[in-house]
Amino acid sequence: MVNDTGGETRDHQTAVARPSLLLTGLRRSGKTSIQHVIFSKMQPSQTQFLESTPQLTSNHFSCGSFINIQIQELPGQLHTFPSSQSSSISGGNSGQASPYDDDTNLVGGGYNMERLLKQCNAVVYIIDAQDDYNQSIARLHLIIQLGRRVNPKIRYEVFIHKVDQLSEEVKRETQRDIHNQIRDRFADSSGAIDPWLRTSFMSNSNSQEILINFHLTSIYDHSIFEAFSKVIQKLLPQFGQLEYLLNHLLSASNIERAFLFDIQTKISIATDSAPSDIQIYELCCDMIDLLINMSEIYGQPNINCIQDTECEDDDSNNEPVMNGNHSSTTNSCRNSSLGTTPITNNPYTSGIETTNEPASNVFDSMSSSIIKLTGHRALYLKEINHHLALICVLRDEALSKQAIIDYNVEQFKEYILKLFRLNQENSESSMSS
Amino acid sequence: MMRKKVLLMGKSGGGKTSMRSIIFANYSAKDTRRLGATMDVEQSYVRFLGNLILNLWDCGGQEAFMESYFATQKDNIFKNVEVLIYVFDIQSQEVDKDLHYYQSCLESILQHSCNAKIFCLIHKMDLISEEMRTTIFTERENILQDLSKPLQCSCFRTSIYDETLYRAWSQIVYQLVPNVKGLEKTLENFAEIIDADEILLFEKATFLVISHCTRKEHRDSHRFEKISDIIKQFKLSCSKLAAAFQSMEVRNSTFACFIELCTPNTYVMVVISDPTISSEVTLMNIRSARKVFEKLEKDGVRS
Repeated sequence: MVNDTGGETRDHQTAVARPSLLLTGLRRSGKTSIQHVIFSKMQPSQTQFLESTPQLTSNHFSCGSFINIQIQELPGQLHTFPSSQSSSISGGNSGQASPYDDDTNLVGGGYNMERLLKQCNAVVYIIDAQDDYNQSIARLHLIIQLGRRVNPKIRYEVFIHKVDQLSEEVKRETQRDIHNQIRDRFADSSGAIDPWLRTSFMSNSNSQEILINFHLTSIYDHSIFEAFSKVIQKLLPQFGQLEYLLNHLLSASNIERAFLFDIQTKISIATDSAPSDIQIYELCCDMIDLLINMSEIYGQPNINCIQDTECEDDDSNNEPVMNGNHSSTTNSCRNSSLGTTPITNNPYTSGIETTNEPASNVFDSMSSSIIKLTGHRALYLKEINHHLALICVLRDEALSKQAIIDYNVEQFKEYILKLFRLNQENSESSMSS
Repeated sequence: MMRKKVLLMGKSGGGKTSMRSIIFANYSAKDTRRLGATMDVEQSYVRFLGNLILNLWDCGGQEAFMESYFATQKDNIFKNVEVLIYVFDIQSQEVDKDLHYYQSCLESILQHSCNAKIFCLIHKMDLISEEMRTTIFTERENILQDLSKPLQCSCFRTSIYDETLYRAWSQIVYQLVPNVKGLEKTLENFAEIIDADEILLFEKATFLVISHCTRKEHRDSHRFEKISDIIKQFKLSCSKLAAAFQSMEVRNSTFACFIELCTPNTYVMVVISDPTISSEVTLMNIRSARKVFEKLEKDGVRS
């Protein structure tokens, strides 16, 4: 594959090769908890014991090294200095005092916000919906202002977080309110509704518009996984190709929905182009739990025959539950029941790595499942690689031609692996050039 | 229609209604927080295995009610009891009082239903730290077994937050299943013929294991209740989409597991580790076996 570098800056290439996401929000808005719940499979109720994150942390979501997304969490209480070249952040308000939290813990110098924004492709901003969010919106406003100048391609994903206790009506109200407040702020700064601001779900890279998407989330249900999935999907450079492949699979095999899931984090990294449905998403997550839990009971690898996976030394954690120690398959919150791969988890250093090791030693190349539901629907799961699974929702009549589906899925699997391998080669060669 | 009476007793707030709701009414552990105190005796009829009706007497544990059970309502409550389930809240501060009430129950049982099977559930074990659980349970078990003489009681430690709940209730309903020995024999034959590692038979609504046959040793002796738990959880998820699951197949390179409807009231789970046996073959075998099990179920009810 020819590595075409004509016309593209090196920065852009690196960004494409390693998409990056900046996760930020005020203190105690929930950023670290979100990362722990998604990537370290922490129980949501345990997150209240997490300490404040004092510095910028960097994590990599690599799905078995096929994908390479960097997530940088910028703590809320840090004092971030704008670059010294800009005298004021928002054009008409040079006399305004800094709206940042004054009770900050200055940790050895600030971070250069400009540089962070320049390097990232998306900003995930967490707003605590249970708290007074005026200050949060003010901060977001500043970030967007700055971002617009240094990197107009950034997309902003606002997570209206901690909504689990709120009723549907209140959720909608809150979302509307936040949306309006943001729009009003942009109106304030220039006297009219800012023509650059466009909150929409459509991507239009030719326009000067800033894209802001809103998501209602909570770590106590699947909404955070779904929201994060959507963010990750858009960051993937192969997003368009994956969607195309999945759509193709749908029509060729007469299936209704198809998703590519990361087994470990239950983030869906690609879906077909139909509108998202959180209930189906949840059902797929539950199906993964079911597969892994049952496989852990009956599908332990034979000790005698050594499989050809890259399984290293993480078997010590994978001992099946014995003698009354029931914690590994079922647990109190039942949000996720995977507990098999030890992930180095030190938020104060290099962060959480989903590494090259398999997601679970019971999820192997022949892992698959078919579940038939009432209402003529069925779920079909097939392993793609040691981290990814393809989950399809189809009608059970379509299952009568299972051989065709199996064949198509095999082809699909080959394409996907080729796609990721090419991407890996490309990014490696562009990094080194 | 066979009716069997099951008494569920114990102090107020002990967890009786929560347990009952989870096992029989598809509540999740979280849902049970909504439950209020049970007033007097709540009778419910649970259809089990199609032809068996479990007449569940959930006796409110507040003191006023407890007193009346042993006084005015004694005949009514303690006659014709097949199974007595007594729930002890491990966190209770009044252990002596609990034991006293338990003894009164036993006396009434001895008088009115001396053949009843007795189960003691040491409940809310999740509130005890893991290292202490076995010790505390064994201690209580010994006390109860002594106290129950000449009657025999089976003790279980339970919690609605893990699979121990299913273990206890599985044993309880096992006592109530008609013709359970016949079922086991049939399962054994079936397993031999299709070369299965293990076959489990579940009651359809509760997914409690009512019978099993194991041809290949398995290291996890708690797997039955875990499986009940896993499947029940999945059932609950499906119900959010207003759907229910009908059958499932799960496999990896070392095993294949099939869960299919067996009789209208039971599910069968077949575990096969021979990779040369195709899914189709196993499913066909299960289909053929259905008639045998259905007949067995009918015969069991009649006898």
